[in-house]
Amino acid sequence: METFPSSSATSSGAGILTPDALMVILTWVTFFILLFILQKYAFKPIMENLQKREKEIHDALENADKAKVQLAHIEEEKQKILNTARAQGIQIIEQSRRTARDLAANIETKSHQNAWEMIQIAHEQIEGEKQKLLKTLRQESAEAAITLAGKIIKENMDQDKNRRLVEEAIKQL
Amino acid sequence: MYQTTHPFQLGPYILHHVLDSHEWHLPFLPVIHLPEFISLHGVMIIFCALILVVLFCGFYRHGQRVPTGITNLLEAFVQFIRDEITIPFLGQEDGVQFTPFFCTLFFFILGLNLLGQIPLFATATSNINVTFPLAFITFYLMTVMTLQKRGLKGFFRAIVPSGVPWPILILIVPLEFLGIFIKTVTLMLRLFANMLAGHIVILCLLGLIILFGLWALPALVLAIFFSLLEILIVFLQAYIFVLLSALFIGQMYHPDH
Repeated sequence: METFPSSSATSSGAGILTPDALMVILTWVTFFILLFILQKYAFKPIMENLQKREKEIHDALENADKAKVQLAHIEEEKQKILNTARAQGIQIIEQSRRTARDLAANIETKSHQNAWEMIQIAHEQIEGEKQKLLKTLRQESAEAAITLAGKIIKENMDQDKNRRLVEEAIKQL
Repeated sequence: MYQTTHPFQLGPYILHHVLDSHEWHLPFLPVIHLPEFISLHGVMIIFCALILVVLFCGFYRHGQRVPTGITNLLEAFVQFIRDEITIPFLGQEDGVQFTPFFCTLFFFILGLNLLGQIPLFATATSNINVTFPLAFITFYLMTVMTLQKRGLKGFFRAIVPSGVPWPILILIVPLEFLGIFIKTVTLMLRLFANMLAGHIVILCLLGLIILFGLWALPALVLAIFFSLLEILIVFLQAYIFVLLSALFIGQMYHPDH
């Protein structure tokens, strides 16, 4: 069976309530060596890291705010430009519409004029041709009448007298 | 009665485990006899210091933009001590300056407490010779450092509260002066008693199993529960020690706040 140390055995070791200068000094020495090492190689760099990161986060947040303000400005500018562009666009469209309308009206007037002129020329030509035709018809019908009358009356009639009669008759037509 | 019928004695069993000694009992190994100048608690102190140095110098990754793992954990502790303990009690300038000291104090006490929770290791903080020097550092900062930093006038301003009628001051000033010592002693005793008591409770419960065999098996559940509670207390006591140290030093440095 396992035996357990008696109280007399344990009391031979250093007590937890009795003062022990060696232990106190050991604690101090260890603590201060630890403090020196950790302060130099751990906590100072850690705190610098923390401060650096805090500054970075702070700056990043500030930049984000600035960017937000800038973005709002840009948005405003964009809206302004868009509005101006829209107004200009409407103006340009209106102007071109007006120009087109004027141009169309101009073209229409010109074409009307041209057409009228062409009709006039055509009328004149037709009139000329008509006169020519009438003249020719008159001559030919006179001759045909003479020929016909000559054939009908034959020799008993004076040629010159008849011709005169026919011509007078034609004139009266 | 059990002393006569049973070879196992609960009292000496508990004392054997909580007292400091020059022997280190390890399983399957012969007993390690420590030299006269160093006891088991002394070994624990040195071991804890080595663990802390390895942890902070070996595992902490410097210059990580986004800290992860152990680096993140250690930074969280340091930041907590800086932002929640030192700066609120000592002010911005002194707080930042004292953060490494309080961090070392916190991790040292926490390390010693946690070592005590591991079977086969001993709790050095359940030794008054360990808690006394730690509390004495706080006492030193409360008195000598205050005298150095604030002068005799500043030191007395911390003891003599302003706006109090002089007849009451006759009573308060000695009490305040005595309070400096009382605060140190309570600091020392609180950590010592808490760590000792927790172990005694667990050892009592485990001793019951040895005494009564399987009949006392429910005590094992209680012992596990107390062990878990001990882990909480380990962190809590380290936190309280550092918090109160900062508070006491802060009261001396900045009595107006």
